[in-house]
Amino acid sequence: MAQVPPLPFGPAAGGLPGVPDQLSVETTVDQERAIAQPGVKSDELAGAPELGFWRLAVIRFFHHRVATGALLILGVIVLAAVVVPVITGGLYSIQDYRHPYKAPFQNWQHILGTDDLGRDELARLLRGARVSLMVGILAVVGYLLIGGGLGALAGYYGGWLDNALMRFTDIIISMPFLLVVIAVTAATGGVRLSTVIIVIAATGWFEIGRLMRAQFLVLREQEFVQAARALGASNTRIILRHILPNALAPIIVSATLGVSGIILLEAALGFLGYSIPPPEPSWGNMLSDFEQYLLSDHTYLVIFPATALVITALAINLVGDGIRDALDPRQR
Amino acid sequence: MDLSSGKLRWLRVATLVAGVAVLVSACGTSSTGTGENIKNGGTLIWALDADAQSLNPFVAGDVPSVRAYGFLFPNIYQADKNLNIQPDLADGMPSISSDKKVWTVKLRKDAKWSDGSPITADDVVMTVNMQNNPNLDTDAAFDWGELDKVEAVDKNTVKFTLKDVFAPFLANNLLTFVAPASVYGKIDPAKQRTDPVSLNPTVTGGPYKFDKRVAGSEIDYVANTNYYLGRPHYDKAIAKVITDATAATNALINGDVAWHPALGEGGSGAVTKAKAASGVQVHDYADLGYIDMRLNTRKGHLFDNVLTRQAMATALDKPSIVDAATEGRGQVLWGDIVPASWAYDASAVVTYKQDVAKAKSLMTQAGWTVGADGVATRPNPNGGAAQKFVGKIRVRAGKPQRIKAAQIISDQLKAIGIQLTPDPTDFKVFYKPIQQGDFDVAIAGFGLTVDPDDYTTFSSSQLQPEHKSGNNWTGYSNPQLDSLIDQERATIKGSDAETKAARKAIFNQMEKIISGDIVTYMLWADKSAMGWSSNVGGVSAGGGDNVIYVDDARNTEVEALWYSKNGK
Repeated sequence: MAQVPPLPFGPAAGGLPGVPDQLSVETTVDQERAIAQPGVKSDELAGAPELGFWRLAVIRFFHHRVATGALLILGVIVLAAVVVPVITGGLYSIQDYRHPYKAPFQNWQHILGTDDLGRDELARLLRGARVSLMVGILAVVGYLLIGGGLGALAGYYGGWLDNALMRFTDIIISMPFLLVVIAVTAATGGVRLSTVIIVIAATGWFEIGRLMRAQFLVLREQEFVQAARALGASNTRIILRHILPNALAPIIVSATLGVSGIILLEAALGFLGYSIPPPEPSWGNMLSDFEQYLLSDHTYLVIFPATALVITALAINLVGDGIRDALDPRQR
Repeated sequence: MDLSSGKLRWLRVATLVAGVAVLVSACGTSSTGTGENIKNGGTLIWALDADAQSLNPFVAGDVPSVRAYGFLFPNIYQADKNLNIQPDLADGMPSISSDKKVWTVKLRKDAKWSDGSPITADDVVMTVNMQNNPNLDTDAAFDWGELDKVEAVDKNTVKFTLKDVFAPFLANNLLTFVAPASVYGKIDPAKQRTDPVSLNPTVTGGPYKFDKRVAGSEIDYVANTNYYLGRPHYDKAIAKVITDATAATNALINGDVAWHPALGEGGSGAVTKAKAASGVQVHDYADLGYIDMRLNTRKGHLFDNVLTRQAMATALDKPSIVDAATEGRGQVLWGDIVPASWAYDASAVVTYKQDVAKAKSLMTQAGWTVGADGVATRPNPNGGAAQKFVGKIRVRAGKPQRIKAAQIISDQLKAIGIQLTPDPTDFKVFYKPIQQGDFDVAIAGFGLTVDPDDYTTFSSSQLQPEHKSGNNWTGYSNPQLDSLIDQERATIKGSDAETKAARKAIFNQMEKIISGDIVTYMLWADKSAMGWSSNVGGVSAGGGDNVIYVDDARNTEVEALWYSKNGK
């Protein structure tokens, strides 16, 4: 913060007639930030490199070796899930059901062997990764939109709105998830991936909602918010530009961890037959016959998807932990 | 196996009861003659695949409950290992009046309830009337629709008067359990479920008596030393609730349980593993149920033309599909009569060999043209835009064999422009659209009775949703088939053998129509399996594998004289 721009209002700002009003509020916030850190004198900061909160967080994250490793693994999985199925095309559904159960690591054509219908296990694993990751990410976006939105409104406005939204959240928390899935599936006439994503998003957002509300409850009382309000900023503007960026850190952590939770949930649903219908694979429905395989010689058909599931969920959780540490240096 | 209709379910229940009762009975008269040293004593610990919901036979409808109460209640008749019906509580076969509408059953005079009172005709009359009571709160579905009235002629004689001549009456209705009127007759039918006796039976008459039940964990029995077919050899029996199929199989292999009746439900892996284990005896048996693919043949639906159905059948390689889907545990079926039945005749059915070129030409004859996208279309019979051959194969979630079959069928049919996608659905919501006629294709399993009569599935009087009840969901209606069904049901000759022979001739004609028209595309009959510890003596499969053996849908003869070889 080497230079404090001139205040945009009053005679002192007369030299900058073209500066729009919006910018003015932002600069005020920068000033507020300086004020909000009373222990740090501006001349001390003057010599330090210009690193924002987020850049510092990134640096801190990459200093975390486990998290970096997990991110790398996750990156490889995502890349493989996105790229390989494009190359192999319909390989995952090509059957050779008269010659099923080719053992893994025996030939290059089917490195991970073939399944009960003679389909390539590796192609199915990667195709299944797509489903799992897609469900995880889209449902978390749903969490963020619903939970984040409602939590922000409840926390910011308080009063009856807060009360109403929190009671609504209580209702959502008490909804039996599986029954909702079954009911929605019945009502919409069959299992569809979109149904699964929507139901997960619609019933699982409460954690992020409550977190967001708590953040907003604290932040709305802070001086910089009062200042913004005193300067005439609209509620929308205060929520989106002033409080939200400051509330994001714990939400990002929660959302990241949420992805792994949803991937596991999708697996559980797939196991019960409530995920994507065949022949499309997901890690969950690849595991759904596991009992049969555990008692047979085909245990690899359980081990591969289960391992993929565990590694992915673990990697996401470690990345989530890394992000938490990076965003909240006091926790160290 | 899911149970399609109430009727079938009750029949299945009835046969099961008969089965277990006979199974655990220890009739000293039919010694195996192999010089085995049969001794009394020991405890039979067996695996129950879910906790019994009720031990009240009027209420229980699920297989685990029926297995559990089967130890406790006697039956009027039972089916032997060849599915021939034999007297149990009855003294001889029923006599039939000259107009064939009155069936008279004599009861044994020596049979007693566990409280010492005799089992009489009044108990049978109460049992039938209770089952037939419309207010009965039950999970079972008893069907006494053909019965006009039931009366006790004297202490040991019961007279059933029917509305019509009804050949399946013996197999379908008289294989029922009997419960004591002194207990169950006093309970309001609407309150049978909640009465304390439902989980704590006081008076019973089967080979074992109820001792205690630990909810969710076990049911204990003690031998009924006064059982009218002879004292069971085991002193006690304990049903251990093991819900996980893998755990139950391992329990059998480790010797924790001596009998695992649901072994076959663990799939081919479980059966193979149990067979390979030492200290375990496993017997395969043909199940009475079948798995089929029901096609909606109503006008305007994809399979409304018999040529389309034949094209589909010609495009599929059924033997290899069945083999892959069941991993060798299914028998290929073309008609609805399963190999286990006395009415089965492999030569009576029309079969289709895979021939894709021929299938394509049948599709063309049926009015379908395959477009550039590989999907067949035809002018819409209901008017409007052309109809594409795109639909769903409804199949139950959690049934890997059926889902596998659906996937292979879906794959093979692409070759002739048929695009059917597997659609696994939970049991709770599976049947509703099918019963409403709102489906393309549905793969489902059906439990059959000892009698091969399949009236509710094929008679046009059983069309659903056109009529209120019935299993004829395909919309198929054929006056010729209807009249054959009516004939088959009304054929009663002087002896059981003559009746069977006469009915079989009619069944053969029916099978030709059902398999030729592909009223429903039959897939396979299940092969099931049970496992015993080798310490259990008296287990006789009567000639190795592939013999009709005991299960929840039938039973063996009294030769199932189980006893503990080491006395424990």
